[in-house]
Amino acid sequence: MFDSNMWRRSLNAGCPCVFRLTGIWGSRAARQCSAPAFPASRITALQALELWKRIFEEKGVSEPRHSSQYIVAHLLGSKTIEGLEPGRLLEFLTPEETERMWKLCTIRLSRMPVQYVLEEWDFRDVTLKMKPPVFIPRPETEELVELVLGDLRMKSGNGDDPCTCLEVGCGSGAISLSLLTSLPQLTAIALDQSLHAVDLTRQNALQLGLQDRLQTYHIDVMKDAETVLSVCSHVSVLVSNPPYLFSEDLASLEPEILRFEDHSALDGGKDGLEVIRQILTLAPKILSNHGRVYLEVDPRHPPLIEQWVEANVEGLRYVETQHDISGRPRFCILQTDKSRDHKLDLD
Amino acid sequence: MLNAMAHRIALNLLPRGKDCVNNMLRFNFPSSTNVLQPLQFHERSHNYCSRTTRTLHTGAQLMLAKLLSLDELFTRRSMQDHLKKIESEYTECLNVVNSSVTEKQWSQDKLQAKRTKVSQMTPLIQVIQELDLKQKEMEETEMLMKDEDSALRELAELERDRYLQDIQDLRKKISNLLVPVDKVDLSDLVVEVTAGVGGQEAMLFTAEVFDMYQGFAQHNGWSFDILEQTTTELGGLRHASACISGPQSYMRMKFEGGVHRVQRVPKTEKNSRMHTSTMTVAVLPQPTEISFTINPKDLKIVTMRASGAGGQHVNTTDSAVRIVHLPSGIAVECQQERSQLKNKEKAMKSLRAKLYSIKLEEETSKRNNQRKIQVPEADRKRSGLTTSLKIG
Repeated sequence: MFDSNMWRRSLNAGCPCVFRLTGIWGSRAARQCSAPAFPASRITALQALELWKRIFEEKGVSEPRHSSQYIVAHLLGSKTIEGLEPGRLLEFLTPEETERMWKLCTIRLSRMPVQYVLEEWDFRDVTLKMKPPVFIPRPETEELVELVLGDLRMKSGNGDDPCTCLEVGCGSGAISLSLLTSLPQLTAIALDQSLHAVDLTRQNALQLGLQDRLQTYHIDVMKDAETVLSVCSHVSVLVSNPPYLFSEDLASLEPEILRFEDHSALDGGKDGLEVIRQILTLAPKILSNHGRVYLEVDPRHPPLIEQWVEANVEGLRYVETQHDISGRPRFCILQTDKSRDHKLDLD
Repeated sequence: MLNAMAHRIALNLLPRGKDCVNNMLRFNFPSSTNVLQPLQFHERSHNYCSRTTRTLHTGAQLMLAKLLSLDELFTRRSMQDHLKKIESEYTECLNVVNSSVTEKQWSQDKLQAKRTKVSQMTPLIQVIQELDLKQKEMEETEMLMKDEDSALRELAELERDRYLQDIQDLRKKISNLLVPVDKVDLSDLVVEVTAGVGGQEAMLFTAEVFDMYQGFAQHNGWSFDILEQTTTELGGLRHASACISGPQSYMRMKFEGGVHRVQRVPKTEKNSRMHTSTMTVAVLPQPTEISFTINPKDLKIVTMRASGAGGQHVNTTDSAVRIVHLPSGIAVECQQERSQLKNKEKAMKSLRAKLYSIKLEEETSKRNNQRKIQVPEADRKRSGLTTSLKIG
């Protein structure tokens, strides 16, 4: 049986360690049940942080320090450890806080992403609810939103009518809701083939008070092209972070992604371009003239996309490739140009 | 602070009065350290500090060269003339404003301009008039000091001393009011605190000072946006920086810059010995986008997403951003936020403030070189410690 004296002694010695449950549960169970039992006496936030950091390290959980830090910070009401008042970490945790810490960290042990453990995460200026298996927004996508914003702000500066933007594959609603927050005049339409995603986007919209400016639809752009066209009118921006991984790359993903995130939000087919091609095919029919498409893609994609569009899509021209913060080609910008339908005339 | 004021008056009046340059400024570089100006120790009120119960004595900046003292400044003919000029300008404006009610000679715009001028000048004029009054009263008292009655002489002496103090205070006020507004005064600022000498105690002191600035900002209705904060395990602060934004914020914070020292018995001290520790405050004006741009090509930005394919391939929660300004080598880091973009924005704010500060210093020293005047750098940068301070 677990010895609480052992626990207290080791804490006093200042070196927390992992405990194995022995006795009636046996040594086989010990390898499976890796969570330490609840501490018998009070510990400080810092001690809990350090303890769990070591446990995560031992168990091979990715980002052990950050995982522990974010959970502790969240517990204490801050978004980050750095945001806590100096000295806050030295205070003892209440029994409720300790219990919650243990619960959250044990979940993290199963390799569930921190964002799902905390059930929230930040994206630009908004905090969004996160729920498996809905895809967790990546930092690169924040830059995609910046690109769209830059262009839209210029447009509204020219005194044009308020715009509508369409997001294909909205996930948690990050892109649409972030755009709506930054541009009070914008309205948005968001689609996703996953009902979980549509539900979560609606929840987040409600939470942010943006539900009146956002329409959400449960539509699969691959199968239901007609429905897509019927719900969209006067769209001047099409933005998407579509699944763009190559199918063969899925196997090498971290457990956090593989086990918990929706694979259909990641898998772009053999060359990663299946969904992208469909979106670009529909774009000229959805967008008003000179409307733009903004895509986040795999670094290998931009030249392939440019070639393919040139050869296969009437009325859509490739504008430029933008790079992400790490210098990788990451964003493709295209524009509808309905005067380019010359292929039909020449004979 | 006193010397900084006199120094600024001197520099600002230079372009206007040709006679000012040679008459007003006189710099003696001390051959020995005995000629150092006395330090001004000002008590920090602990109204803004929620936790500390001890009063802190903090040291002001150290000027290494001798500038005119307040007395010397006010006995100068040029100063007296300047004050008289201000008074006559005020009277003229006042006459225009009052007479126009009956005569209607002036246009609305001109009238408005005069009215604004009057209201702007009123505080200064009031203090100047008060000063004149006090000086007259002091002269009368000095007459009494020659009286035969010793008791009366004593009283007169006490009175005279009090007048001297009042006159000094009024002169300080006038000095403050004479200095024209620097365009930099209208900007926001970044305040940086760094623990100095004294180990844990210095870091606790740094945390208290930062907390105090936060309270001060709140008290004034300014925003206080923490850009970076490195805490220590024992509750102290190694360094931190925050962007403060609000009316007159830079103007009111700018003299906080410098080395601050505290002498007290630390919480951690077992034998009740007095310790001295220091921390440094830097106040950097925050330029607007238009007035100061940084070329993105000069920047190297590093994040945890740098290796591998990034994007959908990876889910990291480490959103720290590090920016290096290649030409100058200045690096800033931020991990205050969960959003990588927000961390980048905060790091950029920090970087802009630092680079702008350097640019301003360059401009100031260029200006001073042109005037063939050597100005000690303690004014803007963090100054050195006093010679009387025991370190370590």
